[in-house]
Amino acid sequence: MTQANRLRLSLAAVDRAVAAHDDGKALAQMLSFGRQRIAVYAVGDALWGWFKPVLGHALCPHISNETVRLAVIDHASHPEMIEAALLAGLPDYPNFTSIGLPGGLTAAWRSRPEAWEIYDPLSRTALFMSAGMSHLHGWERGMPFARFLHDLVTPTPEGLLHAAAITDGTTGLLLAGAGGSGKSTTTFFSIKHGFASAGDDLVLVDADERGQVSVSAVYDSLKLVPAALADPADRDRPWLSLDADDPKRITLLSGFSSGTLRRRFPLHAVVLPRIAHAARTTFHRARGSDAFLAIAPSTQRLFLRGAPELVDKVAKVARRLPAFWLDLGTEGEEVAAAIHDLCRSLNDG
Amino acid sequence: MKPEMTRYKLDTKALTFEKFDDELIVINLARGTYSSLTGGAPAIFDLLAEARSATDIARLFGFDPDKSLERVSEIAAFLHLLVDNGFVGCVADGPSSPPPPNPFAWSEPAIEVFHDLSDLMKLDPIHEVDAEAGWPTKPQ
Repeated sequence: MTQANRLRLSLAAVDRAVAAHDDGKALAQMLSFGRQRIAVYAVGDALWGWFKPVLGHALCPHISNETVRLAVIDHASHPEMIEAALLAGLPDYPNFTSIGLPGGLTAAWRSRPEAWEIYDPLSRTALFMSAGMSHLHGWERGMPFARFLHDLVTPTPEGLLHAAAITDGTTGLLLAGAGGSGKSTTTFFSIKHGFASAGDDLVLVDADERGQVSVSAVYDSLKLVPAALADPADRDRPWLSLDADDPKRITLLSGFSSGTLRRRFPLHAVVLPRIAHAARTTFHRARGSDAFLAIAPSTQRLFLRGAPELVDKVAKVARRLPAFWLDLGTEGEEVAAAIHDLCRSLNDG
Repeated sequence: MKPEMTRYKLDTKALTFEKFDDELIVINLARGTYSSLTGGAPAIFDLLAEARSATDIARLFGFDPDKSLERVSEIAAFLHLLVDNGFVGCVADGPSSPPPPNPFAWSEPAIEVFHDLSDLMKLDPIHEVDAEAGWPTKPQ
């Protein structure tokens, strides 16, 4: 039997086990991201309880025909679920290992402690199984199911891109750049000055050529190093630790004000923040290739898979939207003023 | 055969490329490299859709290969860079490829290669994987 068929058998067995769990009482929660609908069946509360704060904004009531089933299983409290997952006969690798198979079937797993992710686009079923939050990496807690979402949208016009997105209500900006370029800093100071955001690290961009480029929120979160913020009020916000060794902390966008997290808005430009160490924050035109190179490699680094489709989507965004360098000055509060000026110039133009 | 007469052709199996104004970004998915081609480089890249030598290309830019030896050498050196980066391969001798409909204006070809992902990026699983072992194993 091929690896792909073993994985499909395993996934079907887990799906049956979830359906039979507690006489079919596994809780179905509907998530909606852009055009995507995902029915989450949680077995054990620990994982879902941890993920829900950053995904809760996407909860919606209706299951449609386009829904993908995702089983989220805490096997520390439900060890009986492991048997089904083991049918796949995945090799014994201590570190996270990821494979892709013909037909779009993808799997990622590590064996110590056991954790599995499997997605089969043919049956539209997926599995996320782990022995509780303490066994997940910090980034997995802050961006739950990111690999699965990436695989899910790979054949669609939408792309999960490594970028932030902000809007003043009229003009939407995609903020792109490698880690440390200033996406989260720009997002943070912009929302302090009245902007809304669809996320600071991974956002779902719809590059369908029949419509305007738009962005949808996936994660209600913003990650920063609070100790680096000058204002004590900013440092005293409720920040959650993702990893004991990481000074970065996470806070909910929806925690700033009721309108700060915006689920979907149109995009009008790509902004490329970079640390300039100048006194003032300034912006100037960038090339489409600059925008492309700011988004494509760092997104690919996150997901590794689905490269040609990803490249095509990023290229569409970079061709259709004007791009600007944002040279970040040392005064954080000035960033918002520069962003306001850029929005005004885009509106006037 | 003189090196300038060696003919090359694009080998697009592992390549994906995107044009932005006068710049071409070429991604080698097998090596995990992003390359920026500027100046005359995008035009040379396009010309290599057909098998061509440095001498052929010099001629298509309006140079007489016998009188513009320095230009032919420059193009030959650039073709070697394209070989080194896995964009083109040598092809066996054969009939000359037809010239493009419009002549090209010359500017010095330039290439900048980014290796950021070379340690991570592998072949795409959907398009080229071993059916049993899966990504990132290449098919036998």
